Amino acid sequence: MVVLTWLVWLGYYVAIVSVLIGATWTVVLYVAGSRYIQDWREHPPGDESAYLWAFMVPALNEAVTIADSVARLRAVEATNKIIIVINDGSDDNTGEVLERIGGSDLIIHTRVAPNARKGKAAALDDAYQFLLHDLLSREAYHNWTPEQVIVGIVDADGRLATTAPAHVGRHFDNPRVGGVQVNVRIYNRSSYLTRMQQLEFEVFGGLYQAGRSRWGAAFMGGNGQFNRLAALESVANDEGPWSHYLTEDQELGLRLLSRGWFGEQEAFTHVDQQGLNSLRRLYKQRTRWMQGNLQVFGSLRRLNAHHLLGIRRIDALISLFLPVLTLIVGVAVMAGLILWAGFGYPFLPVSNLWLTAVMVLLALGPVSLGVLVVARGRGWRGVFASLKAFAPYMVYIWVMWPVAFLGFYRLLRGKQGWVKTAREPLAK
Amino acid sequence: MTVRSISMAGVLRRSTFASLALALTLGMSGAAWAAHAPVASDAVGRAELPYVLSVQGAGGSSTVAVTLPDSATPIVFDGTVRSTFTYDGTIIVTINGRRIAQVPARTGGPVHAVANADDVDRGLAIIGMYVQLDPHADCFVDNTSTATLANASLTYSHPVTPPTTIGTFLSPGLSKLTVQVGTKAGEAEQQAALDAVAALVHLYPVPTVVKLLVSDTAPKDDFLNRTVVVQATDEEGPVGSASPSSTSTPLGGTLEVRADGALYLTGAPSALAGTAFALADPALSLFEGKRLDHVAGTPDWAPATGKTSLADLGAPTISMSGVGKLQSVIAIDQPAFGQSLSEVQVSLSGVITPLPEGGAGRVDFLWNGTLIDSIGMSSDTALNAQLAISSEQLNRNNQLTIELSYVPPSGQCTPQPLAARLDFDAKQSFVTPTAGDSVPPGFERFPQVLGASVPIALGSAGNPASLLQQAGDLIAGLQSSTTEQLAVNLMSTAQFQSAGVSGLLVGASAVETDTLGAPLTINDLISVGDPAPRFTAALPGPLALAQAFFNDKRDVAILGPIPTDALSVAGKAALQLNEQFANQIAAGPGRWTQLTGQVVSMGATGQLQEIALPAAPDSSTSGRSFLIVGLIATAFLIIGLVVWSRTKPQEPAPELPGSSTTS
Repeated sequence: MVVLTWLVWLGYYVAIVSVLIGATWTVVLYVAGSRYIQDWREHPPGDESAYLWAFMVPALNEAVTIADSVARLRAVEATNKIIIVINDGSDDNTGEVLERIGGSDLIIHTRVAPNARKGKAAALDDAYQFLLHDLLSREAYHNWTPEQVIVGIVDADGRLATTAPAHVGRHFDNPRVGGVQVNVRIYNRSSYLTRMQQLEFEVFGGLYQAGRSRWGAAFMGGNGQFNRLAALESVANDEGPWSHYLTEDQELGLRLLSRGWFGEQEAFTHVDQQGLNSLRRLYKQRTRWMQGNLQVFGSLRRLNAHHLLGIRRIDALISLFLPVLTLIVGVAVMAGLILWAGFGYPFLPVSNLWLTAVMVLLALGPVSLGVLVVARGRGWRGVFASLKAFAPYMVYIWVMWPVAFLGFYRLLRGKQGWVKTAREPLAK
Repeated sequence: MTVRSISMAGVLRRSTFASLALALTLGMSGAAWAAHAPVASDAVGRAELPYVLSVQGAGGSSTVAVTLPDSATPIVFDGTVRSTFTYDGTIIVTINGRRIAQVPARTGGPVHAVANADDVDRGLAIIGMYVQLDPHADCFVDNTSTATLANASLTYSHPVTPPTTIGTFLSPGLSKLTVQVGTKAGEAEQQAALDAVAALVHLYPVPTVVKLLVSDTAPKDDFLNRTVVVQATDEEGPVGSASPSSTSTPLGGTLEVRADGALYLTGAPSALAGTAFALADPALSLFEGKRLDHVAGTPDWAPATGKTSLADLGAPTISMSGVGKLQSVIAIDQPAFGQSLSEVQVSLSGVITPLPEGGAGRVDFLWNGTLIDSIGMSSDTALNAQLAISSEQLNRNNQLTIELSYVPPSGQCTPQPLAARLDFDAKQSFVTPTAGDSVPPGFERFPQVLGASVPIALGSAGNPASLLQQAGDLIAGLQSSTTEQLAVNLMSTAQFQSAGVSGLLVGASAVETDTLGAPLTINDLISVGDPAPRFTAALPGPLALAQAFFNDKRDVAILGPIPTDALSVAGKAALQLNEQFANQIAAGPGRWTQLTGQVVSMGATGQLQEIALPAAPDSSTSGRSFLIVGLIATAFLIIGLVVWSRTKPQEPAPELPGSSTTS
């Protein structure tokens, strides 16, 4: 009985420590992020012409969106620009669309079976090899050094802001910066789900990524991700810099940090992407992300690196731990609900008002700070907008909670296969 | 019980008191009872013994009084004698001294005997049992053997006519009395209802059950189950002239038996409590009228204070005569003194027959079964004993057993030798109490720790009507454990918490439980820092809890905590269990005295179970242990994290990115 008692106490301890870590670190990131954004708000735009911008667009059956994507990338204001569309074995008419819209600035990198359709990481690695060993050796580009080449990843449904290079370029003026992630926005905000996805990305970029950027510890996020070619080279293996993780962007960010590169968030430009209106498809996508996050958690050893020290290392550790903390808190919440519904125990320690207040604060505080991020720079109107968004966002978080367990379940079963998220009809 | 002399005397003078009393006395004579033969329209009732009749030893005898309802005629007595005697003889059962059955002493056996009207005297049937073993040379044969009369009951017939007068309404021997108030009853009515419960329990001993009902429906009475309806009227009524003060209270409320057979207690709100107190007055059972106005009284609160004779404590005679071992038991209960006691001194003064030459004998004094003094018989006939009972020996309910052991000069009990005799003078034997605490915190401190008044509050968890009914149950249970009539002081929870007085709280919420410092809170139920007993108690599911504890310089008994999330399945179940629990305290065997320790739980099985609390030092040590371990672990975690965050790997450091480039 004593052992059981101590075991249950251990469970309580772990749950409480998890909640405390999550809440405390959210506050730390909020403060750090606010300062970071304030600093960059006053920072002038960079000189985009100092860099060669190589936009990579992985495309697998993207006939619906690819023309729009390329058109939008062509509109991006970059003096030196290459658009590499990776046609990864599409069997729709993606190739034909690309041929039709082709031009000197558009390089179509076609992958065919059996090498095609090996995943986004394989496609990007292939394009990386092509860029490094083929394209940059061409006369038009051979003067560009890897430090001056910026590789931008834009998904086929992505719509990068035209001024993005100027905003992103100012970060790369610091030679230690290996990667920059821009804000991700949802352009089809027509339903509750897509509006919440928009809010979710805003919170992720404005709270977590911005906070980490204060120490140069931001992770990469796939769409709207920019990397210095030299940084990619420094972490690449024989295949390339991207690994076969379900969240290859996150894993790449970890390796860049581990190698000593800085990762930063650019808060004043963005890439728009399509949100999902179907809860079923959203669950599927987020379960994949969760599984990927848990996969990356297995790379904790990479944190033990020479140039990843102090708060950068702690932040990276907490970032990797977040999915695990989510699972722990989820289990604790479920246990609490079962005890409440089945055994009559109060869900909150109502016998102690102070303790109740602390618990409520711990539970709602991080979400409150998250939605407050939305209010930054918008005055009182922003605050009211945040308050209005609080309850729906809280609901959204709880609705999405099961993906933590679904992802964990798939990880336990060793299921790796994922079908690419289907696109919705293109919004005009 | 002291009925206010001005009002009651005046009322009784106006009534035909003398003739009524005479008629009642005559009516209870044997001839009258014999004339009342059971008729076809009568109903049949069954009276159980208030406690199990038991005898010990070869000469053991014991009696118990069974109260029958007015006009009831006994029909048959049933029971089973269970015996551990090993020698031949008989065990005899009597009613009012009439031998009605006998069974073999060795085996015992069933008792089924016809009873009749002559077996009842003034509504009482005295059931007796004694042992007659065959003459034996050994004076101490079967001294520790016992016989008990189990499953005993007296079946009787009774009229079905509902009572039409206050006297007949308050006649003894009822099965159940219900005190009813409306759902919109004000505080004064609720208070009066609780006082009425206490008064009726004081008036009607076990096994009559008194319950409080919150309902607006018309009472449904029958002969054995009667209802007292408490209703406030708008008018304040006449004010007592004895007091010139403007704050004088009305002379009293009204008692009236109406056509529905219920007794209505009505009056101005401020008069209701006094009228409720008066219900305990036995004189009311003599009143053969339907209505009595200006009824007011004060609680029958006259506890023994200071040096008190055993006679005043209810032991009028202490006498034993015979050979072998003889016993007499005296109850010395703390509630009879109206306060908690830290110790008592018992001074016994008696006379004993001189010890004949060659004989042997002694008198042993046992306190709660433990020998505390022994005096040998001698030629001296005076027998005085001074017994000092320390706090460690003092319980709430105590028994002083006086045991005379005597062997005649021949050493044999056959042929029948000359008996020894011991008489204590109950009027010259005294108990001197000292106020203080002797029993540890818990239910055993109640009701004596409360004194004359019982502060009670209804908590915030649960339905108010149900809580009031549960409060009635607790008052009934508490009242049944004392011979003194209690007054109830209904107050709000806030008042109760701030008053700092000892009392009861019904339907305590988790917050209230915690605020009052109860040993078991909701947090305890779900926490795992406590040793096994608490945690085990939390596991089986919904529980009803009663707790009694000492905190902040006061003793508090609560029914709770009740989950505040009463809408949950478990919460509803717990609320129902609480009602059952309260009913068990009001009507279950032992009533309040079945509550032991500090925490008693009732689970789905309906069984009461004391939850043993760990010793306080262990509890705090345990909680502290977890806290210390948690803090140390957290400190290690933080220090480890900081150290680790600044630790570089063993292998050579790669070149710092960007160090050799220029943008």
